[in-house]
Amino acid sequence: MKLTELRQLTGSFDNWQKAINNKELDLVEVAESLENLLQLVQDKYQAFITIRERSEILKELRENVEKRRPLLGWPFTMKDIFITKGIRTTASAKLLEDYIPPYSSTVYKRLQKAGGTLMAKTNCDAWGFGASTENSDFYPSRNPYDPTRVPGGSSGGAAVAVATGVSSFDISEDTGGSIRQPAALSGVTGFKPTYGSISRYGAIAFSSSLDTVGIIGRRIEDIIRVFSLIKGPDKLDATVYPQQKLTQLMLPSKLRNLTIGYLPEIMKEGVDKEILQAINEVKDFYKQELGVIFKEVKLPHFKYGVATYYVLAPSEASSNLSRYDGNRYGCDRTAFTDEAIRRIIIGTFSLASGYYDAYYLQALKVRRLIYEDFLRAFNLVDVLLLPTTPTSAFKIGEKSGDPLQLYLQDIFTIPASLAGVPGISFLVRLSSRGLPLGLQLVGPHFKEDLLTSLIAFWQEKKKTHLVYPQIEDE
Amino acid sequence: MSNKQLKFQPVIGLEIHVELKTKAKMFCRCSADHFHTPPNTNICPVCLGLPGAMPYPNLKALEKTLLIAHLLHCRINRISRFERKHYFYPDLPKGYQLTQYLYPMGYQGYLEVEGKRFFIRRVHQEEDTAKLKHQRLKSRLVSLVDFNRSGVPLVEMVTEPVFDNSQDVVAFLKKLQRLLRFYEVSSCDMEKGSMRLEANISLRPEGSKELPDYKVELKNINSFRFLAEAIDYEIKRQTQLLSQGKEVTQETRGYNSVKKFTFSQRVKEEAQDYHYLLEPDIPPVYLSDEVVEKVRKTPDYSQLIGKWIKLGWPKTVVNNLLIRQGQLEWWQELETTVQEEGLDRHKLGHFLLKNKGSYYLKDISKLIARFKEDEKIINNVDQLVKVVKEVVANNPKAVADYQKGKESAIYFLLGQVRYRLGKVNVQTTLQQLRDVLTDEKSKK
Repeated sequence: MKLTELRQLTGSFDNWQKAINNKELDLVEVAESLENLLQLVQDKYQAFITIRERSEILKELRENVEKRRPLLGWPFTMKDIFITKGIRTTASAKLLEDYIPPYSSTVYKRLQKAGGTLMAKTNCDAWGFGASTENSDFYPSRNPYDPTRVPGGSSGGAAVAVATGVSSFDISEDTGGSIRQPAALSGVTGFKPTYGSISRYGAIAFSSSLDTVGIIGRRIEDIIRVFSLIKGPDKLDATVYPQQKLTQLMLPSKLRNLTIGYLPEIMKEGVDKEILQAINEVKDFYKQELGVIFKEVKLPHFKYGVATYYVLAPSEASSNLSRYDGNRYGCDRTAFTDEAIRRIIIGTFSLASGYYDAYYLQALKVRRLIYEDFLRAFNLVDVLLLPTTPTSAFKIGEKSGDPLQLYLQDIFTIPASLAGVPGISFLVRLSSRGLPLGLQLVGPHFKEDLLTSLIAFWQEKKKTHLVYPQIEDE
Repeated sequence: MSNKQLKFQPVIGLEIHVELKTKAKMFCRCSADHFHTPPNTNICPVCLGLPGAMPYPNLKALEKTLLIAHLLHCRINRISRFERKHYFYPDLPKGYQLTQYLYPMGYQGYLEVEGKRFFIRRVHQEEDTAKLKHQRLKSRLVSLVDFNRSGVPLVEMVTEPVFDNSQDVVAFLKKLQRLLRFYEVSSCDMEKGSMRLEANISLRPEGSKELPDYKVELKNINSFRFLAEAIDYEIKRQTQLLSQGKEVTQETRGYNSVKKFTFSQRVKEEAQDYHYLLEPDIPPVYLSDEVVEKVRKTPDYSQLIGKWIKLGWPKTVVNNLLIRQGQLEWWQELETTVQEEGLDRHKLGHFLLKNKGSYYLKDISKLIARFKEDEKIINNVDQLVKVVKEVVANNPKAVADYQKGKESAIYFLLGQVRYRLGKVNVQTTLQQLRDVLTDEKSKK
């Protein structure tokens, strides 16, 4: 099977289901192709930390098909921060290089039950600390539209796996933009639901009050399908919201009277022209097709997002990483690399007595203001349209010498994380240089149905979920 | 003015930790039973602090802590939040302990002991650490970690510095132990480590109202008696130092219970910074009206105990035998029988005390039958006198020894009476023996 044929199957669950039901697929051949193509993507883009054995993939494929589990074996990948029993889990950190966990994360268990076939664990910035995968302790992943550029991060390998079409979807995590930003830079759909939708049990913690399990995929219908299989209460994660409704797509007729807010103020500086153009294109599209009303809104504390985030997230990270004290996991603390050390120091400092009030507590207060900004905005508009990133994918090495430049990558994604509201990044089109341009829709808590319905309508008309990078030697 | 003229007054505050009697641990569903369980058998990713594991609070434990706060007349925080207290130690797998720092479950309470009120600063919920075992293994000195105890629910109680002597401290602790055992919130077993004591002690000039500018922490002492001894020792030691115009070092001290002295364990140069962080993995737990009401309706201990004493049961019997709330039903049943049959509560009470723990105590009808039988034997003075006389007549050597002044010979005779009768009242029998022996002597 060639990559183009595999893309038919990974790109749409309907196609996969049809092929399985009509017994068009030789699973032995599928497993072999998957292994070869995973290896191809690995060689070119270094998307994975661990690729599973072909025999294991085949065994699970067969079982999932035979037992008629809901996903019928649809092959997927997971960011390497999710604990998978018996399968090495590293968080792309040297410190956990040889860690084979004795248990499984809730989300992995639910996917096993739902009949997804895990093929590989995807590369990311170590511990999720970064926006390019250049902070992976193993190797950076590469953008499939231009291998000299980054795929985004921290879930860069995940975005690559889905963008190349080798993986149907990737279970990822977004703390300040780690799903949405790589999805935008790699041309796929990045779905960060409301904080507390999906159990975090077994997701190696970065910043617990921000970490949100989500999905990188293509077709929004498929993302909703996976979402509904993994979300909901878990007796092992007290932060999961207990009463969640089913997320369902709304009919276009129901979208007609919506109001979408946009934020010209935040886009005055540093935003690429083509991204501003993309905003206008999307606005025009929804106006023309659905008669949606666009309204200018202000989020006065939006601009403090990055500063707030880089106090809160490192504070929690310094605490979450304190379990790697050198007594367990076979590595001492010298195995931590620069970005982790930087965040541990920042976090430890801001939690120190005497500095706590000035930094950590102050940041908590600003977080509250940002949250209130969103609530106020959602009194005026139904959802917000904003850039996912200020620019399209940048060159590997371009920002790695300057952490602050890299932190600014998340300027548009961080506020939604701080407020805990859902955000989805979707592909608008490719830029003049052939690089993906993504935008995000952000909605009120637990209003994923609004966001997904709008994006589903876009995909239906524009077919952007079918855009793939050209991969040589195909 | 030299310090020699000054008299000093001790200032003592207590920190008490108790493990709660719950089935499951505080933040996972592992069994909380860790005493004499094979090492590392009640463990899971949560209490091992594995990557990705998350805490899920045990509401039953929170209810028990609420009960403790209520029993200590505390003000209650209806919202329970947890904080991470960071420090590095091999028995702390997450690198932090979950505790309640800003929002203790209870605060500003008191416990009344023999008419005195001792004020409580705070009562809060936390989790226990793993247990370290330092031993030789294949000729190497190793430290082993047993995680069975990791995450067992722990409650910390802190008093204000309101004690000025060791007797009050012990009386307070005994009352506290009795209370917590009575309501079955903790076994408070010091040998098993389910109750742990720490005392902070310093001295100030008599009459002064200010707190001294130092304190000595007494730690790792596992009996009330040893704690009292250590406090008394410290009072002497510190008095001596201060009288000589010296300073007392702020430090943690242990107690050598064999050689009876305290010794320095660790000198604290400065207060440790724990980098407290509100635990983001546990949303605030709201104690429902239902739970709070249930706890508020808990019957008062002194009233419960008082009721039985008023009925005519001896105080020592009630204090020693009515030790768990769960026994009240049994006592009610016993009281009914006593009233129906017109039994003597004093005698029955002492009979119970003597036979504490006997199997037939549970079955009230068997118990009463046995009691009556005993009474019959003991009360049958005629038979006793007859047997005593026979024993004296049959054991001339022992009688002669006794007459020569060998007092212990009487116990041989007592044994003989016992052998004949099976059960006797020792005091009555000894009295009878003495009477008969005196008669014998005067006969000669």
